[in-house]
Amino acid sequence: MPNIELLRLGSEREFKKLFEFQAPRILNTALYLLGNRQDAEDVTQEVFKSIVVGVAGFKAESSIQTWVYRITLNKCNEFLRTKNRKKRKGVMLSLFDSQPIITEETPELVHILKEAEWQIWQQIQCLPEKQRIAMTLFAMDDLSYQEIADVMKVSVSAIESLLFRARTQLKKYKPHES
Amino acid sequence: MKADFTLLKTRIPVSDELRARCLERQPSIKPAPPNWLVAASFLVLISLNVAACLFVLKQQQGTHVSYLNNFESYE
Repeated sequence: MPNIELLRLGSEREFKKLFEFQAPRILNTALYLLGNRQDAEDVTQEVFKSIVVGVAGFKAESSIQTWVYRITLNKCNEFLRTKNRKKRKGVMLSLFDSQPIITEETPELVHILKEAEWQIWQQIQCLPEKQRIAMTLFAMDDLSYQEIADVMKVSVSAIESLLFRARTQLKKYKPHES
Repeated sequence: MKADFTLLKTRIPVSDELRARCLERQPSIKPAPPNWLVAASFLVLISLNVAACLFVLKQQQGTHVSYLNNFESYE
């Protein structure tokens, strides 16, 4: 993990360390949230731009990982909103709308994921917004309940409830899919 | 327990192009000014304000006195 004090002072070495540690997480989170590699790469770049601009003011009230995930989530949402504005007729909606984010374009994920993962990912997209985000973060096994709660700015019990409902919903889908 | 529920296991690697985009074409981080510098700037600003106020007050006092002096001389 990079030294936050040195990062704040503008150390390029620490920024590279942060990149090595966080970039794969940001990229894959964005990939699962957006369903497209190119979009995920664009968002990753945007996230690092925001880190460069914002790190001097980072108060360290949460961990740097939580802060970076929060930026990622915001950037994904911003990206989808911009994309929506450009393409009103598309089915793709905001991450925070209550509809699935998918897509009339075939998501690139179908080529990247294994069959089982693709099925699960599609099912996750049918969940309501907060469940979808919580479930994506949880299903990637990157974050604990506490960390997901910090990223989404809700309580741990709210996350437990969201994930419980999401899992119940996913179990309902399973028989239809198989 | 959570490991049993890791459903999305595939990870794509960070490409060299993305690495270059994020690391080489970024503006450099603007370092935060140290706290003592912020405090010193603030003190200088306050001192300048106080000095300006005192200067104006003194000027006004000076005018008042000279007016009285002139008044007395008319008498």
